[in-house]
Amino acid sequence: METTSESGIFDSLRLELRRGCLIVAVLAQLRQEHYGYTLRKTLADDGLAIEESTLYPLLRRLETQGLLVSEWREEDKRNKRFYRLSGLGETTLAQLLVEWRGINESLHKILKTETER
Amino acid sequence: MDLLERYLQAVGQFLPAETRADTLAELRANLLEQMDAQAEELGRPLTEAEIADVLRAHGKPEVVALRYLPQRSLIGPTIFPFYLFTLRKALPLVVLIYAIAEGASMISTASRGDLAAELASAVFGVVPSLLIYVAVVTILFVIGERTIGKSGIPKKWMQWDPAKLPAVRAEATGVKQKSIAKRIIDLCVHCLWMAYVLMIPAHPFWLIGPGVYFVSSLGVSFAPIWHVFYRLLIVLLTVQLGMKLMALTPGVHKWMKPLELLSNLLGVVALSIMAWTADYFVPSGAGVDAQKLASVNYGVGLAIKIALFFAVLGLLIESWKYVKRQVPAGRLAF
Repeated sequence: METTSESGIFDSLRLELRRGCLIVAVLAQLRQEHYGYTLRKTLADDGLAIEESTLYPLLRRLETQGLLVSEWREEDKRNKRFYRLSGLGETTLAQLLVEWRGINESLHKILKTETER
Repeated sequence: MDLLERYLQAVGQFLPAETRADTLAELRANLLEQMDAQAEELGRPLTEAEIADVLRAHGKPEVVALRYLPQRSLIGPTIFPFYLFTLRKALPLVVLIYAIAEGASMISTASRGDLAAELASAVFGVVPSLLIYVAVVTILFVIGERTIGKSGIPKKWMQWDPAKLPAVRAEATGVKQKSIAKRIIDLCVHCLWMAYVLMIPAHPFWLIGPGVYFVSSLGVSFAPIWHVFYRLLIVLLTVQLGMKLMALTPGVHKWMKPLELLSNLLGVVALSIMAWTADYFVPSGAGVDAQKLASVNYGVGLAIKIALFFAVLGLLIESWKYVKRQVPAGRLAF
């Protein structure tokens, strides 16, 4: 039976694992312009659900870091803040994707070796 | 939508003024969008309870607001390990300085005040001193975080030479060295013990308590041998004080056990001198019951001889253990 502490460790590690991946996913999704709500919906449709209270502050933080740019625009008679990737964001995303693919390939190799044993 | 406005107001209370309006406008737009999508799905406007559910799912106002604030820490993860290291390493030194200062103050004021009260005051006084120490170190590291933390630790500080690492500590003696904290405590306790012994001639009450009045009522006084014993005791304690001070410096660990055996030997010599004596108490006036005095002297002599027996036994056992550790087992086979 799974103990509370084991579940706590899993939750914490899962959170750590997801944190970096979510940033990559958000940056990748914002190669196309989105506002908060539609971005969350698109990510969820692609299988990467993220809480609003996590996503919206994350967008702000990435903008402060210069990876995103935003602008207020009216759409459907409502003012919305649209985000998209900045020049720096594109470069950083490319670097992150190289890193992520490298990690992914290594993990695949390790897991493949484990299965073959 | 009154509930949404109340929610936004609650979130806004925790946001910085310069970004509050912008953040709340964005939050309002996103939440309205979410509510619209839900209403469209249901084919009717949301009820108050459903709006409350959306807001509840979004999160508690203060928690939501906190996520918009920049992540701040007094001491960041880069220098935090150095902070803990400094706190741990400097703590024994702080306790030592405090103990020396308090010990000196106690000795200088001993004749005027109550020793027990001063001791208690010194022990409790260590708490605020330690709190001040932690506060000062924390403030220094917070300043460090503000200056170094932003730009990262300078590369020059991170350069090091593996060849300069200290040699692996030889545990050849088989005796694990006490931690620095334990050695400091050991030294402090010894200083207090010495202070107590040094005060005995001026305050004999501290030695045997109300027994002093009993001894004087018998019309007897301490024999001169006690003065010899007292001087030997002071020498012994001084040697031990030197050893305990030496123990604080690195690299002397292997000398500590032989020195400890030597100080035990000194203790045995002191007890032997006492054991050879027959008179521990002598009449201080006329009318002393000679038979009673003789039995008191016999009792004290017996107690000292028993103490000497155990001291010699302990010294022999400890010496044997030490020799056994020093000499390979094969060479000890008879």
